[in-house]
Amino acid sequence: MKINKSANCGTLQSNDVFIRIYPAEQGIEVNLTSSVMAQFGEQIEKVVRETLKELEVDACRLVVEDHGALDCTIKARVETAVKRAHE
Amino acid sequence: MKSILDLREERVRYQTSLEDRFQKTLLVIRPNQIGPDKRNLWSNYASYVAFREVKERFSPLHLSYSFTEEGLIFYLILDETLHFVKQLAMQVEDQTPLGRLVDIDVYHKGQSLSRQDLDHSPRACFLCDQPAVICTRIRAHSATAIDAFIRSQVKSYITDEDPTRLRIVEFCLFSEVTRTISLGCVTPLTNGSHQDMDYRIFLTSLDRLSREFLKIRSLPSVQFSALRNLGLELETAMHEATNDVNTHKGVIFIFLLVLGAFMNDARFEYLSRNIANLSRPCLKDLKLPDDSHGREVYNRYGTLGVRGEAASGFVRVFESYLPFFDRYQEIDRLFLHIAQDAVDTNALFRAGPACYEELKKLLSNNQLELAEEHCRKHNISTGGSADLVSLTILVYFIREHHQRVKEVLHIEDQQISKLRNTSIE
Repeated sequence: MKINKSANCGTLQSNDVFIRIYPAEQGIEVNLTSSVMAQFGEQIEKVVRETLKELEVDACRLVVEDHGALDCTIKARVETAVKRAHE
Repeated sequence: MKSILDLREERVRYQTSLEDRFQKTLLVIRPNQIGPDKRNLWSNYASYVAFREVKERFSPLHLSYSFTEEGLIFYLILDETLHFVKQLAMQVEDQTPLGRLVDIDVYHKGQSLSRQDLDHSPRACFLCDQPAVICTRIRAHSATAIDAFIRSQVKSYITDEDPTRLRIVEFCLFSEVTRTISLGCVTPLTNGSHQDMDYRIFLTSLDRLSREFLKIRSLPSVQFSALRNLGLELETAMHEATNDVNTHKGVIFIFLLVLGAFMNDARFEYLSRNIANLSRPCLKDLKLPDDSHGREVYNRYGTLGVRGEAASGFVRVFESYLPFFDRYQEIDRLFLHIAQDAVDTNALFRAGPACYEELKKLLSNNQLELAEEHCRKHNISTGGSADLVSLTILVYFIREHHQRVKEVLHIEDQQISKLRNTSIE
Protein backbone atom coordinates (compact mmCIF):
# COMPACT_ATOMS: atom_id res chain seq x y z
CA MET A 1 0.00 0.00 0.00
CA LYS A 2 1.32 3.41 -0.91
CA ILE A 3 1.59 6.23 1.62
CA ASN A 4 0.27 9.23 -0.30
CA LYS A 5 0.07 11.80 2.45
CA SER A 6 0.76 12.27 6.12
CA ALA A 7 -1.85 11.05 8.61
CA ASN A 8 -2.15 10.22 12.27
CA CYS A 9 -3.96 7.80 14.47
CA GLY A 10 -4.34 7.01 18.17
CA THR A 11 -4.07 9.11 21.30
CA LEU A 12 -1.57 10.02 24.00
CA GLN A 13 -3.71 8.31 26.65
CA SER A 14 -2.19 5.63 28.84
CA ASN A 15 -2.30 2.16 27.26
CA ASP A 16 -2.59 3.72 23.85
CA VAL A 17 -0.18 4.76 21.13
CA PHE A 18 -0.09 7.85 18.93
CA ILE A 19 1.20 7.34 15.41
CA ARG A 20 2.10 9.87 12.75
CA ILE A 21 2.87 8.54 9.31
CA TYR A 22 4.63 10.43 6.48
CA PRO A 23 5.39 9.55 2.87
CA ALA A 24 9.04 8.69 2.14
CA GLU A 25 11.16 8.01 -0.98
CA GLN A 26 12.30 4.60 0.10
CA GLY A 27 12.69 2.37 3.13
CA ILE A 28 10.95 2.41 6.47
CA GLU A 29 12.06 4.67 9.27
CA VAL A 30 10.56 4.32 12.74
CA ASN A 31 11.11 6.92 15.46
CA LEU A 32 9.88 5.35 18.66
CA THR A 33 9.43 6.74 22.14
CA SER A 34 7.69 4.75 24.86
CA SER A 35 6.94 4.92 28.57
CA VAL A 36 8.05 1.29 28.66
CA MET A 37 11.00 1.69 26.27
CA ALA A 38 13.47 -0.29 28.36
CA GLN A 39 11.20 -3.32 28.71
CA PHE A 40 9.27 -3.34 25.43
CA GLY A 41 11.01 -1.01 22.96
CA GLU A 42 12.19 -3.82 20.70
CA GLN A 43 8.88 -5.66 20.80
CA ILE A 44 6.93 -2.52 19.89
CA GLU A 45 9.17 -1.77 16.91
CA LYS A 46 8.84 -5.39 15.79
CA VAL A 47 5.03 -5.19 15.86
CA VAL A 48 5.10 -1.90 13.95
CA ARG A 49 7.41 -3.25 11.22
CA GLU A 50 5.54 -6.54 10.89
CA THR A 51 2.24 -4.72 10.49
CA LEU A 52 3.69 -2.49 7.77
CA LYS A 53 5.04 -5.56 6.01
CA GLU A 54 1.65 -7.28 6.11
CA LEU A 55 0.12 -4.17 4.53
CA GLU A 56 2.88 -4.16 1.90
CA VAL A 57 4.09 -0.70 2.80
CA ASP A 58 7.68 -0.37 1.54
CA ALA A 59 8.33 3.29 2.10
CA CYS A 60 7.28 5.62 4.92
CA ARG A 61 8.43 7.43 8.01
CA LEU A 62 6.62 6.69 11.28
CA VAL A 63 6.71 8.61 14.54
CA VAL A 64 5.42 6.38 17.32
CA GLU A 65 4.65 7.72 20.80
CA ASP A 66 3.73 4.78 22.96
CA HIS A 67 2.16 4.89 26.42
CA GLY A 68 2.05 1.20 27.20
CA ALA A 69 -0.31 0.00 24.45
CA LEU A 70 -0.92 -3.70 23.97
CA ASP A 71 0.45 -5.33 20.81
CA CYS A 72 -3.06 -5.64 19.35
CA THR A 73 -3.64 -1.91 19.92
CA ILE A 74 -0.35 -1.01 18.24
CA LYS A 75 -1.21 -3.20 15.26
CA ALA A 76 -4.72 -1.70 14.91
CA ARG A 77 -3.39 1.86 15.18
CA VAL A 78 -0.70 1.27 12.53
CA GLU A 79 -3.31 -0.27 10.21
CA THR A 80 -5.64 2.69 10.56
CA ALA A 81 -2.79 5.21 10.13
CA VAL A 82 -1.76 3.49 6.87
CA LYS A 83 -5.35 3.38 5.66
CA ARG A 84 -5.80 7.09 6.35
CA ALA A 85 -2.51 7.96 4.63
CA HIS A 86 -3.44 5.86 1.59
CA GLU A 87 -6.84 7.45 0.94
CA MET B 1 -20.53 -0.88 16.76
CA LYS B 2 -17.51 1.34 17.23
CA SER B 3 -14.35 -0.18 18.60
CA ILE B 4 -12.95 1.07 21.86
CA LEU B 5 -10.02 2.52 19.90
CA ASP B 6 -12.36 4.65 17.79
CA LEU B 7 -14.20 5.74 20.93
CA ARG B 8 -10.93 6.79 22.53
CA GLU B 9 -9.94 8.91 19.51
CA GLU B 10 -13.39 10.48 19.54
CA ARG B 11 -13.13 11.23 23.23
CA VAL B 12 -9.78 12.94 22.84
CA ARG B 13 -11.27 15.09 20.06
CA TYR B 14 -14.14 15.98 22.39
CA GLN B 15 -11.67 16.86 25.16
CA THR B 16 -9.74 19.12 22.79
CA SER B 17 -12.97 20.86 21.82
CA LEU B 18 -13.72 21.50 25.51
CA GLU B 19 -10.24 22.91 26.07
CA ASP B 20 -10.62 25.17 23.04
CA ARG B 21 -14.05 26.32 24.08
CA PHE B 22 -13.27 27.22 27.68
CA GLN B 23 -9.51 27.98 27.62
CA LYS B 24 -9.33 26.67 31.19
CA THR B 25 -8.11 23.50 32.85
CA LEU B 26 -9.91 20.30 31.91
CA LEU B 27 -10.12 17.40 34.34
CA VAL B 28 -11.28 13.98 33.11
CA ILE B 29 -12.30 11.11 35.38
CA ARG B 30 -12.61 7.62 33.93
CA PRO B 31 -12.66 4.09 35.28
CA ASN B 32 -9.30 2.37 35.67
CA GLN B 33 -10.38 -0.91 34.18
CA ILE B 34 -9.57 -3.22 31.33
CA GLY B 35 -11.85 -5.00 28.89
CA PRO B 36 -13.94 -4.18 25.84
CA ASP B 37 -16.77 -2.69 27.92
CA LYS B 38 -15.83 -0.86 31.09
CA ARG B 39 -19.39 -0.13 32.16
CA ASN B 40 -20.54 -2.05 35.18
CA LEU B 41 -22.17 -1.40 38.56
CA TRP B 42 -18.92 -1.16 40.47
CA SER B 43 -16.68 0.84 38.15
CA ASN B 44 -19.51 3.27 37.29
CA TYR B 45 -19.87 4.07 40.98
CA ALA B 46 -16.10 4.46 41.43
CA SER B 47 -16.14 7.11 38.66
CA TYR B 48 -19.07 8.84 40.32
CA VAL B 49 -17.46 8.89 43.77
CA ALA B 50 -14.27 10.42 42.34
CA PHE B 51 -16.44 13.01 40.60
CA ARG B 52 -18.16 13.80 43.90
CA GLU B 53 -14.79 14.10 45.66
CA VAL B 54 -13.56 16.59 43.06
CA LYS B 55 -16.82 18.51 43.07
CA GLU B 56 -16.69 18.87 46.86
CA ARG B 57 -13.31 20.58 46.53
CA PHE B 58 -14.12 22.80 43.53
CA SER B 59 -17.19 23.86 41.67
CA PRO B 60 -16.69 23.28 37.96
CA LEU B 61 -17.44 25.96 35.37
CA HIS B 62 -18.68 23.21 33.11
CA LEU B 63 -19.66 19.60 33.63
CA SER B 64 -20.41 16.92 31.08
CA TYR B 65 -20.26 13.14 30.97
CA SER B 66 -20.18 10.28 28.51
CA PHE B 67 -21.31 6.69 28.93
CA THR B 68 -19.87 4.42 26.25
CA GLU B 69 -17.89 1.18 26.28
CA GLU B 70 -15.12 3.34 27.76
CA GLY B 71 -17.21 3.51 30.94
CA LEU B 72 -18.78 6.42 32.80
CA ILE B 73 -16.54 9.44 32.19
CA PHE B 74 -16.85 12.91 33.74
CA TYR B 75 -15.41 16.06 32.14
CA LEU B 76 -14.98 19.11 34.38
CA ILE B 77 -13.66 22.54 33.48
CA LEU B 78 -12.00 24.19 36.47
CA ASP B 79 -10.81 27.76 36.82
CA GLU B 80 -7.48 26.76 38.35
CA THR B 81 -3.95 26.20 37.06
CA LEU B 82 -2.97 22.92 35.46
CA HIS B 83 -0.42 22.26 38.19
CA PHE B 84 -2.92 22.88 40.96
CA VAL B 85 -5.59 20.68 39.39
CA LYS B 86 -3.08 17.86 38.86
CA GLN B 87 -2.26 17.96 42.56
CA LEU B 88 -5.93 17.75 43.37
CA ALA B 89 -6.30 14.84 40.95
CA MET B 90 -3.44 12.92 42.57
CA GLN B 91 -4.89 13.63 45.99
CA VAL B 92 -8.17 12.01 44.92
CA GLU B 93 -6.35 9.10 43.23
CA ASP B 94 -4.02 8.42 46.15
CA GLN B 95 -5.91 9.44 49.26
CA THR B 96 -9.58 8.60 48.77
CA PRO B 97 -10.78 5.03 49.31
CA LEU B 98 -11.82 4.37 45.70
CA GLY B 99 -9.22 6.64 44.11
CA ARG B 100 -7.19 3.69 42.84
CA LEU B 101 -10.12 2.60 40.71
CA VAL B 102 -10.10 5.70 38.49
CA ASP B 103 -7.71 7.57 36.24
CA ILE B 104 -7.85 11.34 36.50
CA ASP B 105 -6.12 13.28 33.73
CA VAL B 106 -5.72 17.03 33.46
CA TYR B 107 -5.16 19.21 30.40
CA HIS B 108 -4.65 22.88 29.65
CA LYS B 109 -3.94 24.45 26.26
CA GLY B 110 -2.96 21.13 24.77
CA GLN B 111 -0.61 20.36 27.65
CA SER B 112 -0.96 17.58 30.16
CA LEU B 113 0.97 16.78 33.33
CA SER B 114 2.03 13.33 34.41
CA ARG B 115 2.57 12.18 37.97
CA GLN B 116 6.30 12.12 37.27
CA ASP B 117 6.20 15.80 36.26
CA LEU B 118 5.21 16.50 39.87
CA ASP B 119 7.84 14.15 41.27
CA HIS B 120 5.37 11.42 42.07
CA SER B 121 5.95 7.77 41.33
CA PRO B 122 3.94 6.33 38.43
CA ARG B 123 0.78 4.52 39.50
CA ALA B 124 1.24 1.08 40.93
CA CYS B 125 -0.95 -1.84 39.92
CA PHE B 126 -3.65 -2.47 42.50
CA LEU B 127 -3.12 -6.23 42.53
CA CYS B 128 0.66 -6.36 42.78
CA ASP B 129 3.00 -3.44 43.34
CA GLN B 130 4.56 -3.25 39.90
CA PRO B 131 4.06 -0.10 37.83
CA ALA B 132 0.53 -0.38 36.43
CA VAL B 133 1.69 0.30 32.88
CA ILE B 134 3.83 -2.87 32.95
CA CYS B 135 1.05 -5.08 34.36
CA THR B 136 -1.36 -3.85 31.70
CA ARG B 137 1.24 -4.27 28.94
CA ILE B 138 1.95 -7.91 29.78
CA ARG B 139 -1.62 -8.66 30.86
CA ALA B 140 -0.27 -9.81 34.20
CA HIS B 141 -3.72 -10.28 35.73
CA SER B 142 -6.90 -11.82 34.41
CA ALA B 143 -10.00 -9.72 33.85
CA THR B 144 -11.72 -11.89 36.47
CA ALA B 145 -9.11 -11.06 39.11
CA ILE B 146 -9.31 -7.35 38.33
CA ASP B 147 -13.13 -7.34 38.36
CA ALA B 148 -13.18 -9.19 41.67
CA PHE B 149 -10.81 -6.68 43.22
CA ILE B 150 -12.85 -3.70 42.03
CA ARG B 151 -16.11 -5.28 43.21
CA SER B 152 -14.77 -6.02 46.68
CA GLN B 153 -13.28 -2.53 47.07
CA VAL B 154 -16.53 -0.85 46.05
CA LYS B 155 -18.69 -3.09 48.24
CA SER B 156 -16.52 -2.45 51.23
CA TYR B 157 -16.68 1.32 50.56
CA ILE B 158 -20.48 1.23 50.30
CA THR B 159 -20.86 -0.54 53.63
CA ASP B 160 -18.30 1.58 55.49
CA GLU B 161 -19.58 4.16 57.94
CA ASP B 162 -19.64 7.68 56.49
CA PRO B 163 -20.77 10.50 58.80
CA THR B 164 -21.93 12.58 55.83
CA ARG B 165 -24.25 10.17 54.00
CA LEU B 166 -25.79 6.73 53.75
CA ARG B 167 -23.59 5.43 50.95
CA ILE B 168 -25.83 2.47 50.42
CA VAL B 169 -28.69 4.80 49.46
CA GLU B 170 -26.35 6.72 47.20
CA PHE B 171 -25.20 3.52 45.49
CA CYS B 172 -28.73 2.20 44.91
CA LEU B 173 -30.08 5.46 43.46
CA PHE B 174 -26.93 6.06 41.41
CA SER B 175 -26.87 2.56 39.96
CA GLU B 176 -30.53 2.66 38.98
CA VAL B 177 -30.15 5.82 36.89
CA THR B 178 -26.79 4.81 35.40
CA ARG B 179 -27.93 2.40 32.72
CA THR B 180 -28.31 2.22 28.96
CA ILE B 181 -31.92 0.99 28.64
CA SER B 182 -34.22 3.95 29.17
CA LEU B 183 -37.87 3.02 28.49
CA GLY B 184 -38.71 6.67 28.97
CA CYS B 185 -36.57 7.16 32.07
CA VAL B 186 -33.61 9.47 32.51
CA THR B 187 -30.23 7.80 31.92
CA PRO B 188 -26.79 9.26 31.15
CA LEU B 189 -27.65 8.90 27.45
CA THR B 190 -31.15 10.42 27.31
CA ASN B 191 -33.72 12.41 29.24
CA GLY B 192 -36.33 9.88 28.13
CA SER B 193 -39.87 11.19 28.25
CA HIS B 194 -38.98 13.96 30.68
CA GLN B 195 -38.66 17.58 29.66
CA ASP B 196 -37.82 18.83 33.12
CA MET B 197 -35.02 16.52 34.20
CA ASP B 198 -31.71 15.04 33.13
CA TYR B 199 -28.99 12.79 34.50
CA ARG B 200 -27.31 15.69 36.24
CA ILE B 201 -30.44 16.56 38.23
CA PHE B 202 -30.65 12.94 39.31
CA LEU B 203 -27.04 13.06 40.54
CA THR B 204 -27.78 16.27 42.48
CA SER B 205 -30.93 14.77 43.94
CA LEU B 206 -29.38 11.48 45.00
CA ASP B 207 -26.40 13.28 46.52
CA ARG B 208 -28.73 15.32 48.71
CA LEU B 209 -30.99 12.39 49.57
CA SER B 210 -28.13 10.10 50.55
CA ARG B 211 -27.20 12.76 53.12
CA GLU B 212 -30.75 13.30 54.31
CA PHE B 213 -31.37 9.57 54.70
CA LEU B 214 -28.91 9.57 57.62
CA LYS B 215 -31.77 11.02 59.67
CA ILE B 216 -33.47 7.64 59.73
CA ARG B 217 -30.82 6.57 62.24
CA SER B 218 -32.02 9.04 64.83
CA LEU B 219 -35.78 8.52 64.56
CA PRO B 220 -37.16 8.09 68.06
CA SER B 221 -39.41 5.26 66.88
CA VAL B 222 -39.73 3.51 63.58
CA GLN B 223 -43.48 3.62 63.16
CA PHE B 224 -45.37 4.41 59.98
CA SER B 225 -46.29 7.94 61.06
CA ALA B 226 -42.69 8.80 61.99
CA LEU B 227 -41.48 7.45 58.65
CA ARG B 228 -44.15 9.39 56.83
CA ASN B 229 -43.02 12.62 58.51
CA LEU B 230 -39.41 11.92 57.63
CA GLY B 231 -40.56 11.13 54.10
CA LEU B 232 -42.16 14.57 53.79
CA GLU B 233 -38.94 16.14 55.07
CA LEU B 234 -36.91 14.22 52.49
CA GLU B 235 -39.31 15.22 49.73
CA THR B 236 -38.85 18.88 50.66
CA ALA B 237 -35.07 18.42 50.54
CA MET B 238 -35.40 16.74 47.15
CA HIS B 239 -37.49 19.62 45.77
CA GLU B 240 -34.95 22.08 47.16
CA ALA B 241 -32.05 20.27 45.50
CA THR B 242 -33.77 19.87 42.14
CA ASN B 243 -35.61 23.19 41.85
CA ASP B 244 -38.92 21.46 42.35
CA VAL B 245 -38.50 18.47 40.09
CA ASN B 246 -39.84 15.16 41.33
CA THR B 247 -36.89 12.85 40.78
CA HIS B 248 -37.17 10.39 43.66
CA LYS B 249 -40.49 10.71 45.44
CA GLY B 250 -41.52 7.09 44.97
CA VAL B 251 -38.22 5.65 46.01
CA ILE B 252 -38.07 7.79 49.16
CA PHE B 253 -41.32 6.19 50.26
CA ILE B 254 -40.11 2.67 49.44
CA PHE B 255 -36.68 3.02 51.02
CA LEU B 256 -38.10 4.45 54.25
CA LEU B 257 -40.47 1.52 54.61
CA VAL B 258 -37.80 -1.07 53.92
CA LEU B 259 -35.09 0.51 56.05
CA GLY B 260 -37.67 1.18 58.77
CA ALA B 261 -38.81 -2.44 58.81
CA PHE B 262 -35.19 -3.58 58.89
CA MET B 263 -34.39 -1.30 61.80
CA ASN B 264 -37.33 -2.67 63.77
CA ASP B 265 -36.26 -6.25 63.23
CA ALA B 266 -32.97 -6.96 61.53
CA ARG B 267 -33.66 -10.60 60.67
CA PHE B 268 -33.53 -10.87 56.90
CA GLU B 269 -35.87 -13.84 56.70
CA TYR B 270 -38.65 -11.74 58.25
CA LEU B 271 -37.93 -8.56 56.32
CA SER B 272 -40.65 -9.01 53.68
CA ARG B 273 -43.27 -9.83 56.30
CA ASN B 274 -42.17 -6.89 58.46
CA ILE B 275 -42.36 -4.49 55.51
CA ALA B 276 -45.91 -5.72 54.90
CA ASN B 277 -46.89 -5.10 58.50
CA LEU B 278 -45.29 -1.70 58.63
CA SER B 279 -46.86 -0.65 55.31
CA ARG B 280 -50.42 -1.59 56.07
CA PRO B 281 -51.47 1.94 57.07
CA CYS B 282 -50.41 3.25 53.67
CA LEU B 283 -53.24 1.42 51.91
CA LYS B 284 -55.62 3.67 53.84
CA ASP B 285 -53.86 6.59 52.15
CA LEU B 286 -55.50 5.61 48.90
CA LYS B 287 -58.82 6.89 50.21
CA LEU B 288 -57.45 10.35 50.86
CA PRO B 289 -57.21 13.05 48.19
CA ASP B 290 -53.70 13.55 46.93
CA ASP B 291 -51.77 14.45 43.81
CA SER B 292 -49.75 11.28 43.40
CA HIS B 293 -50.01 9.22 40.25
CA GLY B 294 -50.37 6.05 42.30
CA ARG B 295 -53.56 7.27 43.91
CA GLU B 296 -55.04 8.50 40.70
CA VAL B 297 -54.28 5.22 38.99
CA TYR B 298 -55.97 3.41 41.85
CA ASN B 299 -59.03 5.57 41.49
CA ARG B 300 -59.14 5.06 37.75
CA TYR B 301 -57.98 1.51 37.28
CA GLY B 302 -58.19 -0.05 40.75
CA THR B 303 -54.50 -0.99 40.68
CA LEU B 304 -52.85 -0.72 44.06
CA GLY B 305 -49.45 0.12 42.59
CA VAL B 306 -46.49 0.60 44.85
CA ARG B 307 -48.68 0.82 47.95
CA GLY B 308 -50.01 -2.60 47.15
CA GLU B 309 -46.48 -3.86 46.54
CA ALA B 310 -45.39 -2.47 49.90
CA ALA B 311 -48.38 -4.00 51.68
CA SER B 312 -47.45 -7.34 50.12
CA GLY B 313 -43.93 -6.92 51.56
CA PHE B 314 -42.57 -6.43 48.04
CA VAL B 315 -42.99 -10.11 47.51
CA ARG B 316 -41.88 -9.98 43.85
CA VAL B 317 -38.65 -8.23 44.83
CA PHE B 318 -37.77 -10.99 47.26
CA GLU B 319 -39.00 -13.92 45.18
CA SER B 320 -38.08 -12.91 41.66
CA TYR B 321 -35.97 -9.76 41.27
CA LEU B 322 -33.43 -10.52 43.96
CA PRO B 323 -32.61 -14.04 42.65
CA PHE B 324 -32.43 -12.56 39.16
CA PHE B 325 -29.97 -9.90 40.34
CA ASP B 326 -27.94 -12.58 42.13
CA ARG B 327 -27.47 -14.32 38.78
CA TYR B 328 -26.34 -11.36 36.67
CA GLN B 329 -25.52 -8.36 38.90
CA GLU B 330 -26.16 -6.17 35.91
CA ILE B 331 -28.45 -3.17 35.98
CA ASP B 332 -29.84 -3.17 32.43
CA ARG B 333 -30.89 -6.81 32.66
CA LEU B 334 -32.45 -6.27 36.06
CA PHE B 335 -34.35 -3.22 34.86
CA LEU B 336 -35.67 -5.07 31.82
CA HIS B 337 -36.69 -8.05 33.93
CA ILE B 338 -38.62 -5.79 36.31
CA ALA B 339 -40.21 -3.72 33.54
CA GLN B 340 -41.52 -6.96 32.01
CA ASP B 341 -42.88 -8.23 35.31
CA ALA B 342 -44.15 -5.29 37.38
CA VAL B 343 -47.31 -3.23 37.03
CA ASP B 344 -45.73 0.18 36.59
CA THR B 345 -48.31 2.74 37.76
CA ASN B 346 -46.02 5.51 36.54
CA ALA B 347 -46.21 4.20 32.97
CA LEU B 348 -49.85 3.19 33.29
CA PHE B 349 -50.77 6.70 34.39
CA ARG B 350 -49.03 8.35 31.46
CA ALA B 351 -50.01 5.81 28.84
CA GLY B 352 -53.47 4.60 29.77
CA PRO B 353 -54.28 0.88 29.86
CA ALA B 354 -54.25 0.05 26.11
CA CYS B 355 -51.00 1.81 25.36
CA TYR B 356 -49.39 0.33 28.47
CA GLU B 357 -50.50 -3.16 27.47
CA GLU B 358 -48.84 -2.61 24.10
CA LEU B 359 -45.58 -1.74 25.86
CA LYS B 360 -45.78 -4.85 28.03
CA LYS B 361 -46.34 -6.96 24.93
CA LEU B 362 -43.26 -5.53 23.23
CA LEU B 363 -41.23 -6.12 26.37
CA SER B 364 -42.35 -9.70 26.80
CA ASN B 365 -41.43 -10.38 23.15
CA ASN B 366 -38.00 -8.87 23.83
CA GLN B 367 -38.55 -6.20 21.17
CA LEU B 368 -36.45 -3.69 23.02
CA GLU B 369 -35.91 -1.21 20.18
CA LEU B 370 -39.64 -1.05 19.53
CA ALA B 371 -40.35 -0.73 23.23
CA GLU B 372 -37.96 2.24 23.48
CA GLU B 373 -39.63 3.77 20.44
CA HIS B 374 -43.08 3.17 21.93
CA CYS B 375 -42.11 4.99 25.15
CA ARG B 376 -40.70 7.93 23.18
CA LYS B 377 -43.71 8.19 20.93
CA HIS B 378 -46.30 8.01 23.69
CA ASN B 379 -44.31 9.94 26.27
CA ILE B 380 -44.30 7.02 28.70
CA SER B 381 -41.85 6.69 31.57
CA THR B 382 -41.30 3.48 33.52
CA GLY B 383 -40.24 5.20 36.73
CA GLY B 384 -42.10 2.67 38.87
CA SER B 385 -39.91 -0.13 37.54
CA ALA B 386 -36.84 2.03 38.11
CA ASP B 387 -37.79 2.39 41.80
CA LEU B 388 -37.97 -1.37 42.13
CA VAL B 389 -34.48 -1.63 40.61
CA SER B 390 -33.15 0.58 43.39
CA LEU B 391 -35.04 -1.45 45.94
CA THR B 392 -33.70 -4.77 44.67
CA ILE B 393 -30.13 -3.52 45.09
CA LEU B 394 -30.92 -2.24 48.57
CA VAL B 395 -32.37 -5.59 49.61
CA TYR B 396 -29.38 -7.36 48.05
CA PHE B 397 -27.03 -5.35 50.27
CA ILE B 398 -29.14 -5.91 53.36
CA ARG B 399 -28.94 -9.66 52.77
CA GLU B 400 -25.38 -9.92 51.44
CA HIS B 401 -23.67 -7.53 53.87
CA HIS B 402 -26.12 -7.92 56.70
CA GLN B 403 -23.87 -7.16 59.65
CA ARG B 404 -22.18 -4.18 58.02
CA VAL B 405 -25.48 -2.63 56.91
CA LYS B 406 -26.76 -3.05 60.46
CA GLU B 407 -23.74 -1.20 61.75
CA VAL B 408 -24.10 1.60 59.22
CA LEU B 409 -27.73 2.05 60.30
CA HIS B 410 -26.68 1.89 63.97
CA ILE B 411 -28.90 -1.08 64.62
CA GLU B 412 -27.83 -2.65 67.83
CA ASP B 413 -28.03 -6.34 68.38
CA GLN B 414 -31.23 -7.02 70.29
CA GLN B 415 -29.38 -8.86 72.99
CA ILE B 416 -27.10 -5.88 73.62
CA SER B 417 -29.88 -3.32 73.55
CA LYS B 418 -31.93 -5.44 75.95
CA LEU B 419 -28.98 -5.61 78.32
CA ARG B 420 -28.55 -1.87 78.04
CA ASN B 421 -32.23 -1.26 78.79
CA THR B 422 -31.99 -3.51 81.83
CA SER B 423 -28.97 -1.70 83.15
CA ILE B 424 -30.77 1.62 82.77
CA GLU B 425 -33.70 0.31 84.76
